[in-house]
Amino acid sequence: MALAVQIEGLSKRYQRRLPWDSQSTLAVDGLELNIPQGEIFGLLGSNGAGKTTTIKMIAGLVMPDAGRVSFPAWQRRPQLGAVLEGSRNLYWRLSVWENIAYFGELKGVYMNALRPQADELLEMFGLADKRDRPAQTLSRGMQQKLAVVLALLGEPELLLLDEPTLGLDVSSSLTIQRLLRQLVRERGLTIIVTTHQMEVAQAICRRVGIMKAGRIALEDSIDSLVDLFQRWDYVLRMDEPAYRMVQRDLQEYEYEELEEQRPGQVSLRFRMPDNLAVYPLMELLAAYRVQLTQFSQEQPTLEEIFVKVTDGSREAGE
Amino acid sequence: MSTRWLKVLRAEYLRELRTALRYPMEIGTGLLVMFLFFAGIFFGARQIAGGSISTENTEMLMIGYCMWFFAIIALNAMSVDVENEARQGTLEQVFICAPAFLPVLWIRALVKLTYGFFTVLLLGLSLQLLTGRWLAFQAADILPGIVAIVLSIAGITGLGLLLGALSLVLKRVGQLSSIIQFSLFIPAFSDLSKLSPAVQGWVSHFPFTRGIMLLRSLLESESLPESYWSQCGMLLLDTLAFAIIGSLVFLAMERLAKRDGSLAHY
Repeated sequence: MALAVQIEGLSKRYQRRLPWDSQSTLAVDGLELNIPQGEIFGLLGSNGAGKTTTIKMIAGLVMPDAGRVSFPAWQRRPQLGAVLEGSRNLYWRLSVWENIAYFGELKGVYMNALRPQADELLEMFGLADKRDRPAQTLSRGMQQKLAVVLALLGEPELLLLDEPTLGLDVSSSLTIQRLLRQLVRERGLTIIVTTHQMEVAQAICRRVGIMKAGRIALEDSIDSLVDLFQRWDYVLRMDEPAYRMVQRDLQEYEYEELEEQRPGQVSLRFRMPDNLAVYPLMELLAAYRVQLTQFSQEQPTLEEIFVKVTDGSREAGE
Repeated sequence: MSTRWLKVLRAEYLRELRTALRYPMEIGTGLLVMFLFFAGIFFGARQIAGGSISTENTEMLMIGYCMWFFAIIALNAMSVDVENEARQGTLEQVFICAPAFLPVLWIRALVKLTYGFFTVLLLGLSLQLLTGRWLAFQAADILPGIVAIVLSIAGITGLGLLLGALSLVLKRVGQLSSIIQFSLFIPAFSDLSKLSPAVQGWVSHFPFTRGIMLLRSLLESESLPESYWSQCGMLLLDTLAFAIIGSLVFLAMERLAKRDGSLAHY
């Protein structure tokens, strides 16, 4: 697949220019990153990791000190759409439609092409019945959706979203996630999302790059990351009397008792060295005729991977 | 002008109109404040002058005041606009959507000045009603008058662009803008012809000073003063200088703001 964005040796240091204050902050430090076309790429990192600076350098709003951003898939600067300030990207005094008309024309879209495009997007984002409402009277979630609609006007080839679901309720966040997936599926759009909401990244991104101190600490597909950080944790639930019966024999295993909400039941998490180690455990439980009410293998979440990476316990290439 | 820029022009006209129509009270009260401010100056000056002001002085006062009001609109069109956009969070969005930001800003100034022109007309009419004196321009003076007004205000717009450029980097230039607004009071209301020719020569290069002097000369003389068009030529040069310097400084500050990553700061 062609590369949508290629970042080579990108660096940015913010320098205060006051005579009495010459502090500087290294925001991005020799960043190297390749982002494939036609998928959602997540740029993850803690506050101050350099995500927003990176996305703004891609958008051309911040000039890098060194390095370059290129767009090999288009061999030119692609048509951009961006939501960088969330719901603040709108003219609050204008209505939904007036915002669309303004930004559409600013992007050079003809009015006769803009109307059907806007109708489709408003329908898709559930804003069709709000077109005459001033933006300031919309809920935060709707404003955020409108900001995404505005970014999609003029059919951009590359969409840059900085924390698109930050501060939204669960329902609005899920709707935006669903719509972003739909846009990639139906329009082949390339989307770069920065977020520190790991569950959002896990739900929508195929690949992620975890940033730490201005560099990419780890970059891969989420599936590969899950494999890379795989652990052999199994959760078993059984009746309490059955557990008492096998408790002594379980001592040779590394396990912990989990907080259990169901009365009369016990949940245990076993940490195995590999997946073969689970068979003797099963044989032991079978010998005691223990009835399991749950048996599952735990996958590492992106959040756990993120914490491991950003804590420095496991760096890229390790 | 390409169709792309015509679309931007249309978009800006409609945005300005729609915003104004949503909050007509804001425009109405703004106009009322300017009217009351003039009334204060006018009646205060009359009191000091012993109960009456000459027709000539009243006309000068009205011309100066309307031009000053128009100049404030021009100044704010560039400087306050950039500051507001950064504060509300739309500045970066406009940077991304538009082919270039500087032409958008000039188009915005044109739009604001078009609407501002009608506001100034309304203010001028209400001032004439208040003072009971009617500005008597001859038909032959209309074109030269318009040329002087347009060039003066364009020069102020260039100055406003300088402020807008500073606001990209320094962010809060409201107080500086206020100082300039009030300093424009001097050419608007003083009799600059009484200054020494050397000082007059220097001061007249300041945007809108020469324009005010030209407008006054139109009112004072029966026919078009001999040096009117040559003075207009000088005014054009001053205006072009301010517009070009304003634009160049703006481009430099835009670059600096992008280098500092402070475009969206406020």
